[in-house]
Amino acid sequence: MKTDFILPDIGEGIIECEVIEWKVKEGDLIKEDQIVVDVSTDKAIVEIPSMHSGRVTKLYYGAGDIAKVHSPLYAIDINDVQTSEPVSEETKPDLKLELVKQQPIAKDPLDNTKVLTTPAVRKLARQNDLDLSKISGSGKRGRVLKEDVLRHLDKPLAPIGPTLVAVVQDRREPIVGVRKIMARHLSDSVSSIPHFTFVDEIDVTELIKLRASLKVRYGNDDFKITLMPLLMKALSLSLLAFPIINSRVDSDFSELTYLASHNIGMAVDGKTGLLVPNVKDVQQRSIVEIAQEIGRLTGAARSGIISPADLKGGTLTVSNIGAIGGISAAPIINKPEVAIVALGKIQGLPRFDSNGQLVERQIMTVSWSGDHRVIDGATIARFNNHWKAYLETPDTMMANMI
Amino acid sequence: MTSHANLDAYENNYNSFQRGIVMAKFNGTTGTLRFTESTDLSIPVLSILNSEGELRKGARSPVIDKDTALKIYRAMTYIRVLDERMISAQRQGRLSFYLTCAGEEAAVVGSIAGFTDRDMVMAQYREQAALRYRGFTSEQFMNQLLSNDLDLGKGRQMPVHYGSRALNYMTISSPLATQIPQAAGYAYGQKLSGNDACTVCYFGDGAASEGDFHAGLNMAAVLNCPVVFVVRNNGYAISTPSSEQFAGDGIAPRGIGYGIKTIRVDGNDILAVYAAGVAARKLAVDTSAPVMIETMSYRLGAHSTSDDPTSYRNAEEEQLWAEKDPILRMRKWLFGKGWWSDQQDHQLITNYKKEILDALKSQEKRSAPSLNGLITDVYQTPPQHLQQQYAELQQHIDKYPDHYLANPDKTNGTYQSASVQLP
Repeated sequence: MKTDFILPDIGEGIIECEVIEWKVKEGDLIKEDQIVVDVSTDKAIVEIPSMHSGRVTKLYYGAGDIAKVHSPLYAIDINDVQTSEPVSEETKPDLKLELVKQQPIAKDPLDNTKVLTTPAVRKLARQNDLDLSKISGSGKRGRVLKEDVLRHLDKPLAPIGPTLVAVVQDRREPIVGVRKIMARHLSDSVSSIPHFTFVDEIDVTELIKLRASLKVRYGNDDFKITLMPLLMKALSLSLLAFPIINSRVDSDFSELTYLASHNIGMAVDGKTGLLVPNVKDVQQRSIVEIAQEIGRLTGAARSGIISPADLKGGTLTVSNIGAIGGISAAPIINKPEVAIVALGKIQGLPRFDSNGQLVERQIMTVSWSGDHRVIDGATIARFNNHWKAYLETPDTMMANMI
Repeated sequence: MTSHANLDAYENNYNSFQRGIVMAKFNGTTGTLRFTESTDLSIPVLSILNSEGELRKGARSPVIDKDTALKIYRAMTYIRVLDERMISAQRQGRLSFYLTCAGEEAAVVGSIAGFTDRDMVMAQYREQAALRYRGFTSEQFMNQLLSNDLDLGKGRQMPVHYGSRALNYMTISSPLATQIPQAAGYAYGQKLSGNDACTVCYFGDGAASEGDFHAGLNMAAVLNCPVVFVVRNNGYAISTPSSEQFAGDGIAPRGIGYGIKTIRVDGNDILAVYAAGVAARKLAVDTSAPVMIETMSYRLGAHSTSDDPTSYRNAEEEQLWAEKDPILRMRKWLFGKGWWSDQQDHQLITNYKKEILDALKSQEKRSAPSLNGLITDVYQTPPQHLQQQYAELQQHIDKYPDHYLANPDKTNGTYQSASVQLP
């Protein structure tokens, strides 16, 4: 009988553990009570022994991965027991203090478990491949503090010769916080969504004129009318015609949900890393209201103080990478959304008008990535044409505003 | 006698209304200005067996027969096996929490063996060995740890909060040190009813920092309550070492400060603890007075399954104490007496392992305790507001049946909590 071992809450209210070391491999025959894996919670490093004898058929995580509490950690086939030795009575009839790990006091290199310190510091050491026994602790009784490890990481390498003192050095820093979350999120998106990219150019000359006139009339010190609220409103109007672009799929790809709200996110290069706050219910807001909301969200994201509600529930994302530079990109979808668009920089370029005359037009390249499981190239092309029509002749938007 | 005579003379100089002023015992006067230091009071440690399990020179062994010695040893060994099994079971998710007695088995079993089964036990939480000594069975341990339908506490407490009316073992209470004033009060009741019994109250060095400790000791001393306080001084209050917990010489001087006869013993020396337990019980009951025993020992395991001691104590220290293991020392003494053999020892451990694992496997298949145990046993009839809350709870469970396993269909002995989706 194959069964999954579900990672229990081993520390009074924890939600995840870091897998430190597997003591078994897939295919191994193990006995009841044999240690299967060492995991680290926020509070402690603990050994997990097997409840059954049998053959390990799957390890769901690799060393260093974060395993979720209440989800499978490994699978075991309980019937598959053909060990030559009897499995039950077994091992260690002596009490030789199994509660206390009697490790030799002489330290193994990189055996960080017996250095006096906290689980958080051990984690930091693991992330940086540090041998904690080589770091002198400044805490009580030689306890290694987080500061000691950070100081060690910052410490320049010992110079090899007197002439090499001023050489450049590599710097290591732990990946934490927003950066870590972003990394995990983007890896997940790329590995689970088949992306395709579609690029087109949009003539925004008229849109820029409209924006200039709105800016004079509605802008003030608190917020500016930029192109972004116009782009978002146009997107929202197009989404009404192409609701599939504003949909999401569930994790096992069995159901598609067409979302009623157009919560359009915008990537902001904040102080702490990439953040994507979203403007809620664009379909119900006026352009001025959208501009106000964008002003608020940008300020909050840049200062690093943004409420989780502003980051949640996005349905489509716009990246204004062109504000920094570049004309096209292959953006990564903000999972579980199904599409993302990156705006290139606006350039004055020569184009032929309807009379065949060469004129200067303001051109912006837009780069779409779509989830090919949900939408195909033709859909994106049609949707983009729809959006493009609003942006190139912005007065047509008025005819369709609700 | 001198001091009492002086005190009498001193007191006779005061009339009755002045007696209300707090007075210290009067030990005469001095012309020399000198402060008394904590080191002026020197409390020795009673030690009878050396580390090889032999009698120390000049030490007198308490009278102990083979049956009692083996009963003690079996209880200590049983608890060590139980602790080891239950840590594993907790890691496997079969129980939510566990606390070990490991390292302090002699301090607990040695002391409880000095009492009769009529004496009430009010323990902290690390003294399951006393419960075992009184006869708690593997099934009973499992029923409590797994919160099943046979749990004497009806599933209302965390694991390790044992209690047994039949064994005169008061149910453990999570808040620290509450049992100390309660023990003083219970012992006072025993004295009033004249039933020739006393109360033994266990707690740790950390609990001795609680206000209840001081209130309880003072009350016991002033009211002459037949209570024996057993302080397990294991060097740590969870992660706080003694050096950061108190500046005085352990806990024993505090007993003396309250006017309580106090003894300090090697808590890893079964004969020293037993001798102190027998003598303390006799003192408490015969003279109707409180007594304190401070057992000097060490917690070999973590504070609880949620704790990692490598963050606050080092390997050398753990190793040092592992070599002082009270079970190993008693085993050597038993071998020396010719009362026990290696083979018997292996058999005992193997049997206990099997017994405990079998009990775990059988008791975890039982159903959960009845839900209405939540509101019974406090009021004679549950009041309106509890009945209303209970009805709402039932509706809630009916509404989310997937998140709660209905009592009879429950598996694994625990309610499986719904997996919580976090952003």
